[in-house]
Amino acid sequence: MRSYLTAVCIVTLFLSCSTREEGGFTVPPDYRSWGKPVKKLLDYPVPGHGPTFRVIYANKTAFTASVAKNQTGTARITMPDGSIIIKEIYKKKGDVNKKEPELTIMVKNLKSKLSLHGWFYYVKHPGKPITRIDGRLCIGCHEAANEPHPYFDKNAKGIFRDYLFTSYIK
Amino acid sequence: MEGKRVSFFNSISFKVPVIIVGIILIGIGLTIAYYLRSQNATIIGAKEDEIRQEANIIYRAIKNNMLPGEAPIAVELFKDFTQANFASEIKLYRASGVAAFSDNATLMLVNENLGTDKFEPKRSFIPYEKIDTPGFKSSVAQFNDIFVRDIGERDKRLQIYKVLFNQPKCSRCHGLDHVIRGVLKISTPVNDVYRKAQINILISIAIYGIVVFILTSVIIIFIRRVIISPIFTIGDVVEKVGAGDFKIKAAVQYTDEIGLLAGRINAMIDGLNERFKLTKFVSKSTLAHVQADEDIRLGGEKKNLTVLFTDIRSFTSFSEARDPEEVMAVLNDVMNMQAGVVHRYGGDIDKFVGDELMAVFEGGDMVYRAVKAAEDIRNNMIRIYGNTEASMAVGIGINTGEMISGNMGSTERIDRTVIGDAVNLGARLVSVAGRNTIVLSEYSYSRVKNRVAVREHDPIRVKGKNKPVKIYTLRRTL
Repeated sequence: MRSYLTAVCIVTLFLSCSTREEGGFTVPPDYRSWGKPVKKLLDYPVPGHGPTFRVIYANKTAFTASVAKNQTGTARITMPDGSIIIKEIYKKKGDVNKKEPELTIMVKNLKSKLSLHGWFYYVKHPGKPITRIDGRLCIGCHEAANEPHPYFDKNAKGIFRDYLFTSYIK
Repeated sequence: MEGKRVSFFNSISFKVPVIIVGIILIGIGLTIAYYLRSQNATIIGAKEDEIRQEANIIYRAIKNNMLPGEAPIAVELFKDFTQANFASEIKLYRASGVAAFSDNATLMLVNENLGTDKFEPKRSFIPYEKIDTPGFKSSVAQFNDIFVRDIGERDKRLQIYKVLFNQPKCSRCHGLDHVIRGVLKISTPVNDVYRKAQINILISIAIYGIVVFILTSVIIIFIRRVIISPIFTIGDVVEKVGAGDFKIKAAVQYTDEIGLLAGRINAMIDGLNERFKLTKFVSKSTLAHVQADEDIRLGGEKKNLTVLFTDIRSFTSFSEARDPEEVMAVLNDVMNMQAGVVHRYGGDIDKFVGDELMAVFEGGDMVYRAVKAAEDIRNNMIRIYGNTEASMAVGIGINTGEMISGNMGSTERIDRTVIGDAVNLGARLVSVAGRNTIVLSEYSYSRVKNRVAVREHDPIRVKGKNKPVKIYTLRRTL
């Protein structure tokens, strides 16, 4: 009886110490009540998304980004842990806010070693379950956000923007 | 098991080393295997990290050179890297699998996207080549970097397929209709790394074998000297004690548990020797009584027995003329002869009292056996000491009847003997027996009269009996 209890305790301890799967995410149903870091509809084509129409939402945490400047005035934007950016992608302009969009999501998670430069990337196609993108499909482009690029405000100064092409910080 | 040796495979000298060596084999083996695996994994992992890092550097270099439209610089860069490490291979492929810079297709597309003839068509190209390896296909399909360990018998290479994305900054020239610009393939031979790992394995196995051999030898020698050999010594001693040798001792010098065991065995031998000597001081019936493991209590039971008494005649005059040592030696010789005869006929020496002997016969044909013993004693005395008036002789009395056999004395000191009228009459008969004469009571004679020749005498008066007792003297057995 005693050895049985010991075995149960060991198994319980083992299970309690085992690593749970990290990076799971559920799309908050009220995300459209969040703020928009970019007020206007993004309608110019970009690599990866092509000629689409995009609306971006960000949770409250994402609006508390820190901006650091060094002696030469170069800024560095750092998004806080827990930031969530949800990008709605529509193929037609008339579908905006009318049809279920494709969602691409960035979640800042500094605690997980599985995150890519601190971010988890997810894709949710209409009517399908959410999928985490662990390869370089997303980060392969987003790493270019930290240097000058031809879109949005073009980040001409090459500010580190924490892998976000658009920013509410001027 | 007595006197036998156990088989080798069932012996401690086999079992214990097998267990210990087994533990050593598994323990050290697992440790070395783990260490070896870790070390080799570290060596190979370090090489892999190095290649990944190399790939990242080249990737960034390509990105930066391609941006201003300096693709030829990237080509030169590949050549430089390849020349720096002849065995390495660095190539860039388009997403279609065709080698980059093998024609002007990309250049023409860029000009078209820009709406100018910014880049003039090239005249020299790298050789046409199309790749369709699983690594390449996976990298394109998964939009991810793919690392391949291509470990063959002879050629061992690490390959990385690094995806070159059509980043926003690239899209102005290259368009928006694709995600992947190309795949950078770096292939590096790692034969040396694996050879080092193999040497590590061989050296570790050799060290493992030597360590196990040395430890095994030391353990076997130690066990043989400290455990097995003393156990054999003790076993031999016990075997000899079993054969009746109580003077032997287990000569074990150690002060450990085996030494303690040897000491206890020696103490046991001393005790056995003491008890063995004590058995010479008691009758066979006493020994049988003790060995029967019954409660030793005072008391007895009635039995029909035959008693034989002997008394040496002329012993007083014999002893007066001789030294006490000589007297004792002769007395012992006579008693020894008589005891031997009694035992030969199944009798039991009850006691020696001075020059007298009392023996008891029990069971079938007990009277005749007692008579035969008496006759042999008389014949031996005559043969040894002669049959003159001056020679030493023996008088013998035999009686049969119901007597009490049991434990007499005190609770501290017990004698197992027989008592009763029949015993007393036997003692009286010996007192009336002449030199080398055997006197039988009437009852004893009645039991063997067809087997003996006797001389009948007139009844005699004996102490303790109101009526005269009829006696017979033995002439010979028939």
